[in-house]
Amino acid sequence: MKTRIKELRARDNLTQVNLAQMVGVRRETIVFLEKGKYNPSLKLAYDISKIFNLKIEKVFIME
Amino acid sequence: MLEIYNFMLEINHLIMKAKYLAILKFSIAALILASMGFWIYKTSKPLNEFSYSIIAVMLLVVGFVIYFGFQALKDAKLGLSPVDEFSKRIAEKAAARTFKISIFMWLFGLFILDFFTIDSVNKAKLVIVIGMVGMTLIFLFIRLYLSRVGIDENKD
Repeated sequence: MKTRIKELRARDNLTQVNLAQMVGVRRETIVFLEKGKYNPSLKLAYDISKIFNLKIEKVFIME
Repeated sequence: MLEIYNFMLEINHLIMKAKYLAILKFSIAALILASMGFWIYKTSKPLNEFSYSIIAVMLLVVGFVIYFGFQALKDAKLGLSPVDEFSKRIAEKAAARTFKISIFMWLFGLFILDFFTIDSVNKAKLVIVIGMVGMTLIFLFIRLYLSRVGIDENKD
C-alpha cells in the first residue's frame, strides 16, 4: 500500500511530529506509514484523511 | 477556542502518560539491578561461567529497558503518545515470533543437555533458566528489530 502522507504534509506545512500529535500516535508510526512499512487501522487511516480533508482512498492507495 | 483547549488537555494527558511509562521502565531496570546485586552479595557459592553469563544477559535486559524508557521520555517531551497501535502491533508480532522460535529453542536445549551428566533436578532448573532468559532476549531483539524496520503486512 502506498500513501500520500508525505506529499500532503508538505502541502499543509506539517511536520511528522505535528501530524503524530494530531492523530495521537508516535512519530515512528508516521515514519513507517510514509515508507509503506505499516498498514494503519481503519480508524487511524480515517483520522489522517480527516486532517487532510480528503477521502481515505485519496490518501492511502492500494497497489 | 474549546477545540484548542481540548487539544492542549489531550497533549498534557499524553505527556503525563509517557512520563509514567518512562518512570515505570526505569523502576523495573533499577529493581532488576537491585535484585541482581542482592543475589551476588548474598550468594555463598563462588560465581562460575554460567552465573557470569546470566549476569551479562540481565545487564543486556536492563540496557533494553533503559533504552525503551528513554524513548518514552523522548515521546513525553514531544507531547506524543508513548503507546500506539504500531507499538502494540510490534509487541504482538514480537511475542508471536518469540513463541514460534522458543518451541525449537526448548527442544534444542533439552537435546543439548542430554549430552551432559547433570542430575535431573539441576537439568530441569537449567532448561527453565535457559528457556526464560532465551525467550526474553529473543523478544527484546525482535521488538528492537521490528521497531527499526517496520512491519510489512503484505509480505508477512
